[in-house]
Amino acid sequence: MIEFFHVSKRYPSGPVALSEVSFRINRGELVFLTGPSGAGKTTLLKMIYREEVPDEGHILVNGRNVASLPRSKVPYLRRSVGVVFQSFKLIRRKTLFENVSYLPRILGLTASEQRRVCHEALSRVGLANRMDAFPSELSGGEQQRVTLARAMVSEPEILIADEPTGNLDAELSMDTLRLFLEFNSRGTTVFIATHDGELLKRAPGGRRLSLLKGRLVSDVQLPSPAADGGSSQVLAGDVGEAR
Amino acid sequence: MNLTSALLYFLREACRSLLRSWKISFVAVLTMGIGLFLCSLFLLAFQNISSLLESWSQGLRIVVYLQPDRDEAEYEALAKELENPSWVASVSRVSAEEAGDRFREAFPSLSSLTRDWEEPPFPASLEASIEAYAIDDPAFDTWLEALRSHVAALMVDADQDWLGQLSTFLGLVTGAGITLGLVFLTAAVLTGASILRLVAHLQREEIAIMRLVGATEFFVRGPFYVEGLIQGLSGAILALLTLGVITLLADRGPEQALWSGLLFGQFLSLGGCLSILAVGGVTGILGAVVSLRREGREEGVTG
Repeated sequence: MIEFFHVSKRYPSGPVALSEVSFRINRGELVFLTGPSGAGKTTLLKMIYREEVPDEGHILVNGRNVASLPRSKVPYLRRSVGVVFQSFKLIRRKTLFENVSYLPRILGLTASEQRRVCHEALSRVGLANRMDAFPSELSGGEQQRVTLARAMVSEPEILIADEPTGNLDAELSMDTLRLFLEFNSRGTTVFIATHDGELLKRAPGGRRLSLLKGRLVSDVQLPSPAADGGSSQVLAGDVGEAR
Repeated sequence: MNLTSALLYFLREACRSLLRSWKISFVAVLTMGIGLFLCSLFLLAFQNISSLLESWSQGLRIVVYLQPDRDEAEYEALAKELENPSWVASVSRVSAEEAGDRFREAFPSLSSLTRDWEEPPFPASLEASIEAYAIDDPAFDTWLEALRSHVAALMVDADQDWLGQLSTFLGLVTGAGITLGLVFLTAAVLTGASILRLVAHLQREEIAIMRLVGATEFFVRGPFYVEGLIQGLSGAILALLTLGVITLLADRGPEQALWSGLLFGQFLSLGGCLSILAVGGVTGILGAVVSLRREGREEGVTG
């Protein structure tokens, strides 16, 4: 699904962002990408949707070599990858429906179809009744759920998130994680960059890749709920009940 | 998304953007309007002077005044030379008496001046009406020179001389118009581009999100092209309306000066109006292309 082969990246007049990074993520996996600030997490995620290109190495997403993808094909790659940011990136003067309906509109859906798919996407994050509200009327947690709805409106195969809980308190972070787990339980490959230790502790399994100064320093499987004595049971049990 | 719904989307987004930032849009329209007004002013002058020249060329005439006391055979040879080229439509001979009568008819108040003269005051002449295309024929000037040097010819008076001067003036007007028009249109393109770039900058977050979710560049840039097109067309309409009002005022003015007749004799033809609208549209789209090319260098989805 996502494969990195000896990927390196250095920004002009800057430090090495990534160095010889190689890994493979299979379809339907839940993967956390950890590391301190400046470790290269954001650069790595940006390469998946071709916001950045590597200086060396290859990146395959669904079998397509992203690094050599022609510019005209990049939009089609991005339609198969949902992206969530820490800073939400919602348009304040647009309603939730308008914020979520970008891709349906681009895909040429009729107005009623757009409304239907946006309603479904917002339903999954518990905001179906707020379609005509504006982002400023929502809490931070709710805004993050809207960005999740926007990312998942066309049900992409891959969902990536860059510090999705960075602006949320502990409780809202767990709510957001539940939503990610729910999408993962439906078969979506979820790749989350975070340095939120609490989030990782509460995660019911999954895999953790760790970056340090641009190098992949560890690739470990997180303990599953059964293996860690049930400390993650609450979250695992909540999956599918986020609505 | 099919083309029709894409165009409708572009139009809707462009209108929203124009309304949202109406003040800067107005400045763009005004700047383009000024540039296009100057272009249409010169186009109007060119059109009116050209049509005036054309109508004068239709009635082009050559008068060959005859040397008195020459043999009739020489006069006939001159008449033959005059009739020879294909551009001569007709030749008529005017006697010295007829010329005197014409003068008295045309200027009755001056007729007493010539009444007591023993000799007719004007020489006899040959008058030839000429087809308009003759002016462009290189053989015309040679033929005219041959007439002037004919022994039976006293003087040759040709309308072509001052029509040529007017034609040169028209060329100057056209040249100045094209130069000034290009300068103002370039300024209009750059102003439009700066304003659209500002609009694109104000909407950079939305553009970034569109790119992030997989919008093609056609979809991202389409609304800006349409916005540029609307600004350009609005500028052209503003220019044509202003020109129309000025033409009306010049036409209704108490005294019509020669220059006002030359410039505003007749409003722009339909083709001229459509050309100005087309130039306006292209100017607006060019502005959008320039602005997005600059903006494109800074593009990115995550800001």
